[in-house]
Amino acid sequence: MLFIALLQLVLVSRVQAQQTSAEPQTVFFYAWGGSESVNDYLRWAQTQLKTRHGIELQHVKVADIAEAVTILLAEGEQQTSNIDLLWINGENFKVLKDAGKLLPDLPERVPNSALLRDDLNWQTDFGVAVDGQELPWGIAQFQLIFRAPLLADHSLTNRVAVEDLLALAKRHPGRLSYPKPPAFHGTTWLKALAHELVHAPELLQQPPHKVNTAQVLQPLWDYLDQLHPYLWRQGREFPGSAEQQRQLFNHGTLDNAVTFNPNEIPALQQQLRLTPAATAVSLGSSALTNFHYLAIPRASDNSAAALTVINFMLSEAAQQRKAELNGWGDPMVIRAPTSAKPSLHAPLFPSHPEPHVEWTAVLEQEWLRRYQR
Amino acid sequence: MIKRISWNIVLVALLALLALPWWFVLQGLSLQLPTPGAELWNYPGIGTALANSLLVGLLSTLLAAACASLIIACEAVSGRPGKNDVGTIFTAPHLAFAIAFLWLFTPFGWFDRLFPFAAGLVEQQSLVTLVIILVLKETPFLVVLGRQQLMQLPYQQWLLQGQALGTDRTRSWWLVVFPAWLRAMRLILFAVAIYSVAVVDLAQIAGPLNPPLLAPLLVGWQLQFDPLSQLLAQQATWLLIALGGVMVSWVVIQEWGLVRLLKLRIGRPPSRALIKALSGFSLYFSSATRLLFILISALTLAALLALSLGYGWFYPDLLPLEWQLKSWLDNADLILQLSLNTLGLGLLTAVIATASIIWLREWQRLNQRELPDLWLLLALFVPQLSLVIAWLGSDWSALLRSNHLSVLVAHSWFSFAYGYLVYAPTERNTTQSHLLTGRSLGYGYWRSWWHFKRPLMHSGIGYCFMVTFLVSVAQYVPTLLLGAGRLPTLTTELVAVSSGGEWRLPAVYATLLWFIAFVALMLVQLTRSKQNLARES
Repeated sequence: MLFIALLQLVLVSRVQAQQTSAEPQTVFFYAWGGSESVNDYLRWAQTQLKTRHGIELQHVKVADIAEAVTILLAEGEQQTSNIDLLWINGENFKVLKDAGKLLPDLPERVPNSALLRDDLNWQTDFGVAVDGQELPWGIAQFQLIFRAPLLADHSLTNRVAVEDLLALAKRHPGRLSYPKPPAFHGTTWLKALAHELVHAPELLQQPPHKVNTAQVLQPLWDYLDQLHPYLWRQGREFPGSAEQQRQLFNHGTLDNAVTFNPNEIPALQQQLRLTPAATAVSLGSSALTNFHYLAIPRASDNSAAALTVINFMLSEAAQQRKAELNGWGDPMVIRAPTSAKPSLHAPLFPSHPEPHVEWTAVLEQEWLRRYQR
Repeated sequence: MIKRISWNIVLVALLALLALPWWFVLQGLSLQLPTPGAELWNYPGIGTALANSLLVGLLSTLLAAACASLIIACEAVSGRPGKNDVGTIFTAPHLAFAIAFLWLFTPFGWFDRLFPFAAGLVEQQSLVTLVIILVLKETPFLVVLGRQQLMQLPYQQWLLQGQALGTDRTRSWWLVVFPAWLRAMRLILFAVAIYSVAVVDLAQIAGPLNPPLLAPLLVGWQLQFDPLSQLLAQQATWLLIALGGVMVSWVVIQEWGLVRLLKLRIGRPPSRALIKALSGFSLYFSSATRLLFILISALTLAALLALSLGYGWFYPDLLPLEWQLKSWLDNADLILQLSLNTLGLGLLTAVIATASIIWLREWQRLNQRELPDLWLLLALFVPQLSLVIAWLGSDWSALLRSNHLSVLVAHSWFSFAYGYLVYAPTERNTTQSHLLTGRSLGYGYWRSWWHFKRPLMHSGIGYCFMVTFLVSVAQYVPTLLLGAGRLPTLTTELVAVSSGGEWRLPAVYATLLWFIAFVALMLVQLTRSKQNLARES
């Protein structure tokens, strides 16, 4: 009994100590925890925020940000949220926006939002208007990663057209693949490919119910029917996610992978986390480009501190640090200060936007119907 | 009278604590059943996913049970009980073991780089790979707990009696002891069988991908929020529960079939040559299997450590570009905090769950009434993510306002089921005569239990404590979702960092988890050895 009492005492005192120090300036920041670079960056941000603003930033690492969305959706209307800050975009943002779970008017509440670049179309997230409920944190651009010698053999440099990709697959059967939809990067691959293949890509900006989806997407399915027999395991199996494909790439099983961070290749190579043989190319003439954002739950009782955190994340110091290649390497969303190192100006491929958000389900369901047996 | 009332008060409180989570589940769980016209059956590949899940469950349960039976049989017949031979794999976190195993043995893996012309390596992701990993993980679990169950049976006496009647030890084992041992293992086999069909993390990294197995599909749907995915998740939850029911039936059929088969052999002794051949095979198989387990566990542990220290380790290099302690040192503060949280939560959970289990068994003894195991073990039958999401949608958090308390209750609840299936068979096989003697000497129930029954139950209590501790240590979903990130542990960190494309940092946390679990097992075995020595002296 003494043992139990002691244990309880230890746990309760730890809890109380945490709660005491947590009041009132602890910000619980839910963010994907799968990247060592991102985690290191957030650890740097923690020390900066503590020193500069007296805020304790707690990075709650999740395997999938949908776990945080699950928590938020389950919270009652009158309940104080367990989450103070979120790293989200796309479908997760749409779900929370539709449910009225996010704090509005962020641009007005965050002074550093005035620094955001004017040339970026961050006001829509996967075709959904942001409406001030999230602010961009970084730029994501869909690119393919290849083993450089493979491309050199075919005289390809920074762009691989869909015909080149098919030719590469035929020359190197079983060495290429893509993440399986509906995994996020798998669906993105379908969107990028659709943009290259459909006869009128602008139709993808309209809601699918306004067009003949079967007719629009037919070139995509015809192309995949041709490509699949030459992919890894004859296109009968696919890596479960982009991360899994990266492992297979580093492991030597595959010769290609995908990324959403335009600077990721040099950053990871500097950190000895990606094979030196890797190089990034765009699929087709332009790359699908979007943003990743920060948002605050409406029910957070610590929104003032969370706003300070966002303001810090959009500061020149934080954005420059984020863009450094020996760290995360995520491009800046604010105007780069003149003093910024040239390496921080990320070379982006020409971009094209995300299709309308409703195409996601259409593409995923049709892909599953055709290729999952 | 007062004592009786206090027993009943504790009983009501305990049963309420066990039943309350089910009330919340009913509040939050949808009753969308996978009826013949349900949307689930229109999902592409659902038939294959279902058949593959069932096949993995049936095969891995059968093979793991067969391997464990042969190892235990050989040890018992030869009179040389094994000790720590398979413990290393038993204590390995599932995900960590699978990562290291795949990195070593798949095409383009380390052994493929070392012997590029060798054939016969397992595929990166396939049904066979998953079954192999499950068998490698489940067999040691069954052997470690099987040895503990065997200790509760007077099997040496039975073997001696058999010998006195002219039946050799091998034959006596299979005809007399084995059926009793198998019966004692029934609940543990239920847990293994249900786990095999409901496993998510292993299936995601080692199982087939197109379509995935049912459990990873269900998790995928649960983390999408469109109405169709939510509907599919609700229906798949019930399908997975039904699959768990099928696996339970399979274990019962497996046991019944084997016992029937063995009964047919009674009175029909085989030839001496056949007995000799079978004994030889059994001995050879058992030794080879144990050696294989020791080898694989040593290799996977070494691989995991190497992965945590290696920088720039790419195909086709045999060794990394650099060895560094950076990942360990950079995360030292976090590792310490997470280790303290993990140990504190695990120990508190183990104390609560073990005390509850012992108390509940003693109440059943005192009242000569057996509560149905099914109700007490029901938590094992339902996919954990479905339960936790149902709790999130119920009044659970309104009742348990503290995130920490919420996590502790959930851990204790899940651990209770696992602990009960380890402890209950042991307790049932333990004689009550000492307890009765103590009471006849005028001792109260618990004083008598402490002095006379507890020493007999030392091993059972130790294993129950260890299993409940390890179950708590391994929890991800309830710790994250109910704790809302307020109580991070080594497991939540491992799962989160594993979602990236690298293994260096996950290898750090996995090695630590492995170490903690291994120490727990060693401590239990040490106390058991001390107890045995004390008995012998």
